[in-house]
Amino acid sequence: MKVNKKGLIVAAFLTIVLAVIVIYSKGFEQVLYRFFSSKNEEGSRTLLAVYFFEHLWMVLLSSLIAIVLGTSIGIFITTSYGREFKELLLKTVNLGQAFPSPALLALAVPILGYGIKGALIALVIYILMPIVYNVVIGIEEVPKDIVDAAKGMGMSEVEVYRKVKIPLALNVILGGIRTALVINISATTLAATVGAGGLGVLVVNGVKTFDMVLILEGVIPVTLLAIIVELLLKTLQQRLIWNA
Amino acid sequence: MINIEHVTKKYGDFIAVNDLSLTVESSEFLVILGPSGCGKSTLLRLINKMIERNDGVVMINGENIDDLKGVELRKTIGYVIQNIGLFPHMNVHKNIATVPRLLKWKEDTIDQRVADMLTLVGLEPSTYKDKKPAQLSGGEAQRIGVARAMASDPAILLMDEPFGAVDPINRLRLQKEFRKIQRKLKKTVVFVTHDTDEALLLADRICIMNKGEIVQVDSPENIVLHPKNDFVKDFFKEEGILTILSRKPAVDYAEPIEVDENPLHKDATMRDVLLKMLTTGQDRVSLSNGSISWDALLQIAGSDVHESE
Ligand SMILES: Nc1ncnc2c1ncn2[C@@H]1O[C@H](COP(=O)(O)OP(=O)(O)O)[C@@H](O)[C@H]1O
Ligand SMILES: [Mg+2]
Repeated sequence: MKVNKKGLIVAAFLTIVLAVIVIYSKGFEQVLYRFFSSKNEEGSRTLLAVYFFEHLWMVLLSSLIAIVLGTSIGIFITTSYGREFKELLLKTVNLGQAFPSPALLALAVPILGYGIKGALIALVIYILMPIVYNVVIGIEEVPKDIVDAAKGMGMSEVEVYRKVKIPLALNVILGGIRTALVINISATTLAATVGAGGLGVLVVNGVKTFDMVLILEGVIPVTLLAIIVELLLKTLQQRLIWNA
Repeated sequence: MINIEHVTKKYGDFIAVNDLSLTVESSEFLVILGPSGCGKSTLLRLINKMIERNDGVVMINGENIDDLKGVELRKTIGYVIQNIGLFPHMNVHKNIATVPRLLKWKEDTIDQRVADMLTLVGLEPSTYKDKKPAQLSGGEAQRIGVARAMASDPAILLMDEPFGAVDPINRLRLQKEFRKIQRKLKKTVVFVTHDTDEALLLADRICIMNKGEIVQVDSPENIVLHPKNDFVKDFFKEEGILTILSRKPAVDYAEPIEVDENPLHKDATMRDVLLKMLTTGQDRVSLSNGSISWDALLQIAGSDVHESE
């Protein structure tokens, strides 16, 4: 099986670019000042790296929770035990996506207070849908004949999932996780509005003060991160799926 | 031995299998034959508890299947589903090893077993074991399906139109080979088909079904020569008799009369004898151990032809 080599090379290149930007953030600012005028020639007071790792940390944590939760919910509602909850759970999960993410965050503040906890929970709810949906679709798309054969040979329901349904659904499941992660990386920008930090702080401050340099200082790393994650997960997906 | 006693299966108000009773003897090759939708697959799946019945009793070797867990029961019964259902993400070796793995056999026992199974179904182990299902032809996939069902050496095999998706030439070869394997290994086989030729070629007994009920259970010969009613008669048409003849080795019916002619090869069937008579106009055909006459052929083809004359 040919792995998408081009994707990996591009990802590696972009990672180096991102690392340089994060490490030499002062230099990055100087470059930006050449192209954009700014009222404030000192750039941000906190180091870009701090915002970047806050951002990354929030993305990782909320993604991890959402992947575990979403995959479990998705698998559960396709089993004979969880089938009756399927409609209800899918509708609930859908609701999370239906809210625009700023609204979801705004809702999180009065309930969970200002800060990272509210942001994380809002993010998890927001990206749950693509994960759950893809798990359900992936598993339900496994041909009935194949599941029938597995059952017919004496596999228990757990064995059918472990040996047949999940391996065959993995491609679709990973597709959902990929979508969720990319959404997550940009949605985390909004976490700044509830005081959870991250690269969004730069963007929000930049917008407030009409400072293009600050906005770009936040947006460029976010975009790079999203592209890198997308490329890496695509490669991982190609690696992990069964191939004919 | 499988005893099916007064078994009923309903889907809602629709009765798929209706108060059906049937006994399958040990080492018997029983073919369930009937039009599409008559309940053949349903009946088969009631035996290994793939579906639960509404009424009646199923016993396997004297044991009520209700006393066994479905999962455990199915590990002891080979099952080939209608469209084979090979696992596309596993290679041939892993596909065949499925049940032995579930039964936690040792890896080297499994390797040996997979190789034996591939050889049994006429495929070279080293060539095939690493292939993925997508790389197999229809006939090869069917063979792997059969090998997989027999991998743990189950005494009973349930087969649901296992040779359905192969071209006619390969199908005939598969049918003949499988018949030989069944004879050799003395498996109890319940085999579902809607193909009359396949039924006549393979079966020890044929069970004809219609609308969830048994119409007639009998030997292929009796079914063709003494159909119980018009449904059975119409089902086989006239050609059934040719398939009956093709099951009969000519040497078994030889009369000790020497004819000065090249004999038919020793594997020739009564159908070959008939063909020879039809194409040459002879009324006696030479065999390796004697010869056979037109009259004798008529008698074999339908003993009642003479009686009614
Ligand atoms: N799960 C099911 N739900 C409802 N009806 C079914 C189901 N399975 C089979 N049937 C119906 O039962 C009848 C017998 O089906 P089946 O045993 O598959 O027939 P066959 O194998 O002889 O073609 C058909 O009319 C079919 O539509
Ligand atoms: Mg069927």
